[in-house]
Amino acid sequence: MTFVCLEFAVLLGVSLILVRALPRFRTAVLLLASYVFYAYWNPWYALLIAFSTAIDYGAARWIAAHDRPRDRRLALWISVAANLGMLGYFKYTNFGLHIIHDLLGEAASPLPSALDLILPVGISFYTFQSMAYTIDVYRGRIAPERNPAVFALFVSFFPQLVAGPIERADHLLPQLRVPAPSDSGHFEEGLRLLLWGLVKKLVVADRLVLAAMPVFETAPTRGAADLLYAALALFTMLYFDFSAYTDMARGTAVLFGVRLSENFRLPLAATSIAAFWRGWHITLSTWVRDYVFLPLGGTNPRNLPRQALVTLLTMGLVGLWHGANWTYVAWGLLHGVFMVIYLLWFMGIRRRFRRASRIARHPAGAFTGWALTMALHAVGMALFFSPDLSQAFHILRSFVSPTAWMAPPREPLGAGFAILIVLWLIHARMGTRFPLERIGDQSVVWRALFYAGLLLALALFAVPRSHTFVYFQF
Amino acid sequence: MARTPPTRRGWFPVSILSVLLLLIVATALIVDLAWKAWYAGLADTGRNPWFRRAWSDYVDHTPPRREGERLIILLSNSQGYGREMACEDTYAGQLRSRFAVADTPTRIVNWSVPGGQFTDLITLAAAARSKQPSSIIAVVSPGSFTVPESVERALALWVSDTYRLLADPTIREALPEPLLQEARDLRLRIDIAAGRMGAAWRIRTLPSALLACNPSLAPFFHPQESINWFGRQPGLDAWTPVWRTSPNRTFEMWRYEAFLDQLTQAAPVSILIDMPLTERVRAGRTTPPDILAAAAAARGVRYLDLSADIPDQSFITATHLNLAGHDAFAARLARELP
Repeated sequence: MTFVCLEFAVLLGVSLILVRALPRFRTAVLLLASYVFYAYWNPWYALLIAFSTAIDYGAARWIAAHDRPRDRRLALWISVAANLGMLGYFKYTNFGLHIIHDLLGEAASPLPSALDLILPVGISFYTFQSMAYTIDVYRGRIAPERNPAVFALFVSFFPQLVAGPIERADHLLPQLRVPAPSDSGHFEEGLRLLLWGLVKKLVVADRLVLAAMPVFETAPTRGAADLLYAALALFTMLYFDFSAYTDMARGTAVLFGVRLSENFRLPLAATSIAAFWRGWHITLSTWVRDYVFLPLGGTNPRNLPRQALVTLLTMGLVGLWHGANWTYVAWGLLHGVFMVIYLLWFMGIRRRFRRASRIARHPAGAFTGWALTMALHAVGMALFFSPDLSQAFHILRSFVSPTAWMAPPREPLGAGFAILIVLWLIHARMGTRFPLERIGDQSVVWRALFYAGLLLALALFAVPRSHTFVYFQF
Repeated sequence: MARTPPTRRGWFPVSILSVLLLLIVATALIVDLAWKAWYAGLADTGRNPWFRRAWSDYVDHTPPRREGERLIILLSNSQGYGREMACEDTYAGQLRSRFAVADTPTRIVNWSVPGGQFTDLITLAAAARSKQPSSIIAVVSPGSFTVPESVERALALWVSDTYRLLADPTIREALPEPLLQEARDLRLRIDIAAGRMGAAWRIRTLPSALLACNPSLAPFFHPQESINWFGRQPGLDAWTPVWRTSPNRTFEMWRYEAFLDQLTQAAPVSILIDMPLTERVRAGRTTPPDILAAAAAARGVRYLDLSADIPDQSFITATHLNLAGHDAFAARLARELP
């Protein structure tokens, strides 16, 4: 079940009616809806999430109940090992076997080449969320949740279960405990976010896929201009696809009086790689910052090599989190390298030379920074959307090959880039001057016109059959 | 800190829904009127210019047979529509020219749906009944029913929007129950119900199809709103998105027989032409022609195999005729028609 299907509409409608009619049973209704939502893919998945919930609930209660550091650490490690073990088994076993066979060759023949495993949807998201809860309890940042139903709902809350945002316990748990206020303002806001997400997904993201994926899938016969256009279109698609999911998740949650975290802040308009990661998949980037980067000493200003190493390691892990494939690892490391370059520039040149700092703030400097960041994303998408490194390298080779740039384009690049630029401008404009929230402050007529426009766009330009959200596979 | 929206009285925002509803109804009425006026002013080109969309409107705008007139309805897919051919060069166009000088006023209507599949043709055959044609000619081919369904066909039972014709109770009654069962998909039913309200709801996918005809915009609208071979970009052929999988459907006799039944009931003279193909394609056919011919004969439908009349040189693809092929086909068809 995805947000773009009738089954979801039915589940949402029934849950809303029940929550309204039986406010005392709000937690039970939402928990049941969440498990139905998740088990709809595969009933066995529900057992996995229940297992993760039980382990983390127990571990957190144990940590809070014991003072001895050794006992507390043991419970923490059990939680971390269970979550990472589950994630590792389902997501990385076949990748590991592949590596072992590549390294050992014939010597690895007793081992199977792959196991028949199906990756449970959203496992990377809920294991991280659940694990962070236990770590926060261990660190004393939050008190453990006493009510097992509320905690189970925290792990499985269906709007954000399969593709985030990865919520923190101190933000989500209090909202799940207390019956939320709900009025027409909340109701309209939730529907607005849902509608906006639908338009982003069905009218923009799915159409960009139609235009760009064929280019990547016929990469060996394409020139560099076609590939650059396709890479930027795929990057734009990735944003619209993922942020559409997030908008719909947030909209669904608002209908139940819950506010999920923002996951994006102008990532397409970022003028540096650091700004990009401050605005892209914010809940994941802050997660790795708090639970990987900072504990490993990634911000030690006196030890630049350590900072660089930790940055590379963290970004490599971010890449690996996305998928069990060298292409994702390489994508993460590529971002890590650029982060290190940015760090060196920021720590060195920019601080020593005030003029360089002024240049960076000048519109021309900002534009150059944005163009460089976009170029990085073009390179990154070659890795992200290629099935293996050889195809990715072919695309990357094309980007630096003069003959590939001489090849006549087969795509209508004028119209293609014009559409991308319009989308980037709308994104930047809505992120600064006209945020979606402001629509709620307008008069009834303006709001109705806005919604009518969105409905018309859906009716006229939505793809007849949507494909699944990209981030569902992670 | 999360922003709290302004609190409004009442749970259900009635005011905004009223305005929204009003806007939607007004838009629909305006589009409906504009569409009807525009369509009425279009010259009769002999085939639907809207590829896979607005088929229900094209059918509705076909007047029934008039007193003293001969009406011939042609049903086919891209082969009958005339892939890469000007309208007047297709065998349908050539037949129109030939019959333009006939003693009896003759109207030839080409209802061929590019990319159309069997379900489209059955629905159109059922819709033809109300037009009271003198003859109905179906030109079908392996793409329609003698090979396993292609990946694209697996996407939907109806490639065109002809399923909207199911809103007409007489058409629904004419169709076999298993086919109606297939239209139980909620999305289709919503479309059918909305189609009853007016053209504005029927043609809602037409803007996408029109944009797909522009070569610059075609990649964004390929492949489902537009017929594959209009505005197709080189290299797109190789693309099979991962989420599109074929259920490996094979020839279904009941569907074929249902089609024959519709043809018999649509007109006094019904002809089914086994579309000529190149030798190579014929060799790969999975359903023997004699089975198809026997089923047609049992229902009083004339079954013609024109393969011998059309050599391999008369094709632009393995299944689509070139100009010489259309010439030969039109000549043979003119002889066969009463």
